Amino acid sequence: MLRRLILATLITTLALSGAAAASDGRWIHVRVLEDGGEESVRVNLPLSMVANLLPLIDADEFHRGIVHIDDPDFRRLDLRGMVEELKNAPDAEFVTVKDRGDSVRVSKAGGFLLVQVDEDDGQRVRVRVPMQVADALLSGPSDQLDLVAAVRALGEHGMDGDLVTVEDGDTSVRVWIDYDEQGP
Amino acid sequence: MSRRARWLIGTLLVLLLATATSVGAATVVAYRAGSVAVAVTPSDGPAVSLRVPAVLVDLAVALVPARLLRDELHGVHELRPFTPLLRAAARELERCPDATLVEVRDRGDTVVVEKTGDALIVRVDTGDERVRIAVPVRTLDRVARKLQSAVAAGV
Repeated sequence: MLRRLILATLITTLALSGAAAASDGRWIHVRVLEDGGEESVRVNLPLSMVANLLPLIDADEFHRGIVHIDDPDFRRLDLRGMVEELKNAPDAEFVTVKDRGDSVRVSKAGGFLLVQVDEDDGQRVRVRVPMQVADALLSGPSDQLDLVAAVRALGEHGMDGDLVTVEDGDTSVRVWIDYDEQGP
Repeated sequence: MSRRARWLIGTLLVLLLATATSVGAATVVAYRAGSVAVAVTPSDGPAVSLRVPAVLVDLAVALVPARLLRDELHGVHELRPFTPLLRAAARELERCPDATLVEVRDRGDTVVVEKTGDALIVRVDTGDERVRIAVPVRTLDRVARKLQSAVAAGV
């Protein structure tokens, strides 16, 4: 499950970061550490490269920049409506779910959509995405994530810093954007 | 010196100049095209190292008919969805600054893909052997283009 989550996270984030399509010298970095660093994967790619290659990838549910999600629960979520509400709302914490040791928080701060997931078993997820990007991502039908639109939105935003971090026991994933080709 | 001897010497000089110019031009082209290098160093056994001028690889790629490539590589049609991606990736690599693009470490084993100068370099280090492959990025583009032609020939 975690591997699928990580994979989905990587694909989504890579796609989103491709936004910076412009060759402005920004790089997208993905770092996955397992077994306390015994196993590691590091990927460093120019954002312009990701942006140009993304629309050419055609695999499984991912077609030309659009992810098709065949899940009735996902369609019922009305994420589009939620983002619409968040977009027009002031900075605040909008969703807080606590269940024993688990907690999920969704908030808006400084134009960013922030998602924090903390689970009892130590799993910790942080997502930081500009609101315009979330808006563009959900601009298509309810069973699709429009990564191409999201990419355009992210390119216009021009952010850098962390996009996603996942920590789960001795596994950690970090996806971020900066101007250094090798990352720290 | 007779007129015939002068004509012969002149012809020889022209031929010599043409040969020298051709060899010089070929050397420049070969130098600019770089080389495809493969080196395998096993922990027990002789090391194998091969370096071929990339211009020869380019020539071979250019001369092989797309239909022959399609017939000999039976799975080539399965590459159809990926050939535009391969070509675009090759073009992007040409523009990419020098960097380590991918690095995978699994305990003692390491795989590194990096762009250095005009070449894409793949280094694989395991406990048993070390493999190093260097391919000029332009050669990758030509191979990708040929694969695309081969796939198209299968239509």
